[in-house]
Amino acid sequence: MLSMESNITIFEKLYALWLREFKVFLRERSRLVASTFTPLLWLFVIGIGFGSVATLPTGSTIGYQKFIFPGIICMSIIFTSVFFGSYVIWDRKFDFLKSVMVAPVGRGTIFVGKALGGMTSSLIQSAILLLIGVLIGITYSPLGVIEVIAIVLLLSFTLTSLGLAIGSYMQSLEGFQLIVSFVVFPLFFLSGALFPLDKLPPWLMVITSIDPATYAVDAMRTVVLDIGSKPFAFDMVIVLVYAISLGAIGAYSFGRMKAV
Amino acid sequence: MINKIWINYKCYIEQEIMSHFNSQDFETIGAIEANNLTKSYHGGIRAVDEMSFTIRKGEIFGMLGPNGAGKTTVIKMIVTLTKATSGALQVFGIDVTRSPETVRGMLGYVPQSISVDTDLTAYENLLIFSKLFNVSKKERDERITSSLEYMGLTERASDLVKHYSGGMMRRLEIAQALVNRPRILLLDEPSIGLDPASKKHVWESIKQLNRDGTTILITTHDMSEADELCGRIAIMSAGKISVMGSPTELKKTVGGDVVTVNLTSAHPIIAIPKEIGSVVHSSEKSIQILAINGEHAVPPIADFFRSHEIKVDSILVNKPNLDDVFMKYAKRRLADEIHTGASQERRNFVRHAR
Ligand SMILES: Nc1ncnc2c1ncn2[C@@H]1O[C@H](COP(=O)(O)OP(=O)(O)OP(=O)(O)O)[C@@H](O)[C@H]1O
Ligand SMILES: [Mg+2]
Repeated sequence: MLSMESNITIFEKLYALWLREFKVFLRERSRLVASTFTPLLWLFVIGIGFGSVATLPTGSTIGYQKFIFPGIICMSIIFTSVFFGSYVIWDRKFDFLKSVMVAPVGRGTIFVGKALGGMTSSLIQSAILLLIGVLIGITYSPLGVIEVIAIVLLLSFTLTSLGLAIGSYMQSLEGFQLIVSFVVFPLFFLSGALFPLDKLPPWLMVITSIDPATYAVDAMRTVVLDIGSKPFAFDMVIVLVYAISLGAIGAYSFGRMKAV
Repeated sequence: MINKIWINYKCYIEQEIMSHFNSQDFETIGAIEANNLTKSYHGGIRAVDEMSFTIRKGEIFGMLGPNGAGKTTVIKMIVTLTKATSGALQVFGIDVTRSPETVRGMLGYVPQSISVDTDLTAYENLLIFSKLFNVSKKERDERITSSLEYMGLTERASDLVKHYSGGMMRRLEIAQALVNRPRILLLDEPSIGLDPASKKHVWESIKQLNRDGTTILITTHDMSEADELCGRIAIMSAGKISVMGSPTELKKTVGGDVVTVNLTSAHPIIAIPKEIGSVVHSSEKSIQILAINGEHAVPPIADFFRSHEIKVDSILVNKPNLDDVFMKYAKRRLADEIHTGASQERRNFVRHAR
């Protein structure tokens, strides 16, 4: 009886924590506009610009712009999710987090609530980009849409966890931004979002294989363009492993986070 | 279904609380009891140093002290945001470190700086907190409405909090702490930055809450606030309680009332009889006399000067206020502190010299 009750209240609490993030997201439209603008710039300026000179591996009939489209969705997830960690610092700058921590809510629950908020932001942005994809001639199957949503949720949970973990240790926004730029750009550039990975020298290939985004980009390419280099299930399992590990690290970091 | 479970849960919590009391009477137990409570931070700062105190059920207890005295640190230990380095701390008999969640369920906390979400409306803030505090769906709306009403925010409930004034935000923070129907409300400097009218409003709400049975702990720098609200106060300095008692008791410890006699012209040397009072200070045209009761001392003082044919311009009676108490107890500690600090430095110097 009691364990059932605590499950119910945990969901209620998660919902409350998520609701807060979601309302804040909805009210900060400039955030949404700004974070959709950058991917569009990449898609239309870099996509068309480089598309005029870049030649993809022979046999591929897909243009460069379409080729980077899955990568650009992942890019938007990388930036949104990791930067989402900075909101923890904001919460702590004021005493908002203190009053949440004083409520009978476990730290793990607070962490998951926040992560759900970050995942929602990523999902909404990805949805906008997917619609824009139709403009450049991308088509989706119903199953494909579900698979894309799964990739978006998994990658955004992974990277939101990373961002939240970093945010829980940082005292200042400036410090956070500094650290995060050392994380975000490698994650993006090494993911193969902008170029195929199979022609790279071995040392670079090894580095790209550590990047969780690599697998998300590949999975997304499989689903959207049918040109992935590894099986969809394989990519998903790898991202899942990253999601679980970074989720655990994030929850742990929240547990030891000081309220001040 | 959910409600029924909720009620069971409530009963469970009550039982859990009760199980800690054994045969002890719930009525006589202290709301908050601290024994040799100590908190030291890295670098050896003893923010709270062997403090012992009991806050009684149903009182408004004030903690006063200069910046850095350790007031916020005490509150943070009570609300389980930080762990004590040593010593015991109990809330209604429940050990804070052993059952933090149970303790938190009984508390309402208003931190020193903004703790509501300014991107949400007042209603949304309260909704989220009522969920976080396990308020059942059935009770939720009623509690939110009554909290808003209590703090006079009903009309602005659906406005974004970022458009609120500082006083309204403070009131909302208290409203937020109330959705939990806490047994103890902890307010860290509740009236900081408020205009006199908002301050009065907040004070009235605090008093009303207390009349309705909530035990209240506030910290403040504002002596008039402490005087107005608190049944008992503790003046803290450098992590210790310098003195504790009711405002009236404390004012008595400073000494009696000061009667200032202003003369129309410079006076010759005179001796005031002991039974009137003792002279604490005198200048050419004014004399300050310490008397046990100022008002009662005025007629004999007037008679005395008249009989000596000294023309009196005016007589003022000053009752000691908590400012004097604060200065007496906080200052002395401060002076001690500087003193020990200096000797510490000297020791370091000696060590270096060797
Ligand atoms: N997280 C921390 N790390 C190190 N020292 C701290 C920390 N928090 C507080 N202190 C120190 O503990 C002491 C007491 O601080 P506290 O905030 O409790 O004072 P306060 O009485 O609330 O002061 P104020 O009136 O300014 O709010 C100060 O010397 C402060 O520097
Ligand atoms: Mg303080």
